[in-house]
Amino acid sequence: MVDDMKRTHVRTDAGGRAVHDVGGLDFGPIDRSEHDLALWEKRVDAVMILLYARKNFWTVDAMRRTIEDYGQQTYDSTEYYEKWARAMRNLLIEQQVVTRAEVEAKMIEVVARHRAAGRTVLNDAIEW
Amino acid sequence: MENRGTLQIGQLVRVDDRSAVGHCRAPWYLRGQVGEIVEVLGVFRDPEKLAYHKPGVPRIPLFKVRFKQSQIWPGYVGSPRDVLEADLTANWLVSALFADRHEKNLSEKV
Amino acid sequence: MHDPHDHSHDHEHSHDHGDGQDPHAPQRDHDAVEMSGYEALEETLRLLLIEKGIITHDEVARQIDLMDSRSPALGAQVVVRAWLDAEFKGRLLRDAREALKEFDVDIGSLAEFKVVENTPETHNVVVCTLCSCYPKMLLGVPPAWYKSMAYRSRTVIDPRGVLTEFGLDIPLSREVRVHDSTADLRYIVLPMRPADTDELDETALVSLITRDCMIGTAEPSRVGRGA
Repeated sequence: MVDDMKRTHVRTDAGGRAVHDVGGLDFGPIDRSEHDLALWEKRVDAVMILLYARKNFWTVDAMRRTIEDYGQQTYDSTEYYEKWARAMRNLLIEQQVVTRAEVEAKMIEVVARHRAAGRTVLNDAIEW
Repeated sequence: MENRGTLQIGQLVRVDDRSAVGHCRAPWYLRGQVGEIVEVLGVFRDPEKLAYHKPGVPRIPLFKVRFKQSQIWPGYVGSPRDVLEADLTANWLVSALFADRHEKNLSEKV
Repeated sequence: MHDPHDHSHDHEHSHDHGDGQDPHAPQRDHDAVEMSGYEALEETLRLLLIEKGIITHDEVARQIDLMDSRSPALGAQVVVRAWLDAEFKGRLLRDAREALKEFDVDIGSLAEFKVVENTPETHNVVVCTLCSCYPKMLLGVPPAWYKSMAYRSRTVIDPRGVLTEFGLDIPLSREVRVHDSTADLRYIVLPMRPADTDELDETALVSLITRDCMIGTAEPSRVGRGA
């Protein structure tokens, strides 16, 4: 749906236009299909809001900054709550709430449990 | 930027045309554009500091700035009366009068 | 492994909102045979945070309940009140935070709300080009298209083209005013009350107002609603 040329040529060599700063570009027709959030997306939303709005681990600004750190290719190809989940992971580590080793170990455990239950876990290597 | 504290409703301002270092909330498409302050929105903690876990103080004045669409976009398709409004912090706004004088001074030096 | 509490949320099979919108796609959940790495990451982080005593299952469930309780119906009630009560409308436009207290809506400390009024001269439309700022406390979670790169990129440069895609043609004699939510304010459009609705009661009026009317990509209309 999105023309790859449109995606890639516009934010390179732009001398300061960041990956998220898309006003005035052309990402093609708007897909207006409606769908409810998946449970895991609601959970990302809920946990993120608990962490920043209720428990003050960081601000929404820090979350945005972390999302904006994604490279353009990944920024464009990830969904909204995928960006949030990755931002949450990186902020929790940055703020030393959890360690990278803890996240990696728990992720292996979670993925293994789902695979043992017969589920296919796609792309479990989440870019940093 | 000695004029920053004096921005008020009705004043023409130019969005500073600089590259951002780190997080900022002044969109790329408005950099260098001239608009009119239509509302003084108060003072808010500075997002450019909050983004890096700093307290974001002193609070920074926020303004609603109105731009003419036909001025922002060459070849804008629509009505000449169409406008766009964005909320911009004082550190990104320069009095347009001041900015123009500043640019003129620079060009005279060259 | 999973507390039953959380699972109370994933089996809401009745998603027929009766509002004539497209049927909603089913939610994915742990009964699905495939899951993404991000979904596993969410579980990973949530379990770690719970183990460390930073959050609890109950807090997560309550937060999900809170967001589920926010829907455009809430915003629609506010709009109708403004249509029926000029004094309230005045307060809503001046200080949304204060006015919304009457609706038991605490908009929180994270952002301010601003209501912008459509008039015969001006049509307002809201976008957030830098992320996806949206008045969630009044309208619930944003639709996917609001968060899309297409909507975020094009609404500022070609608002009329975007509105046409939504089936809304604004005459050139009417100003289109785009609001890019770049800072601490969240915007809601107060649409115009359609003509020929004098005899409608409050409930009927509320039913005219869709989510998109309050974003500015639609206008309330009796057409198509059996009127």
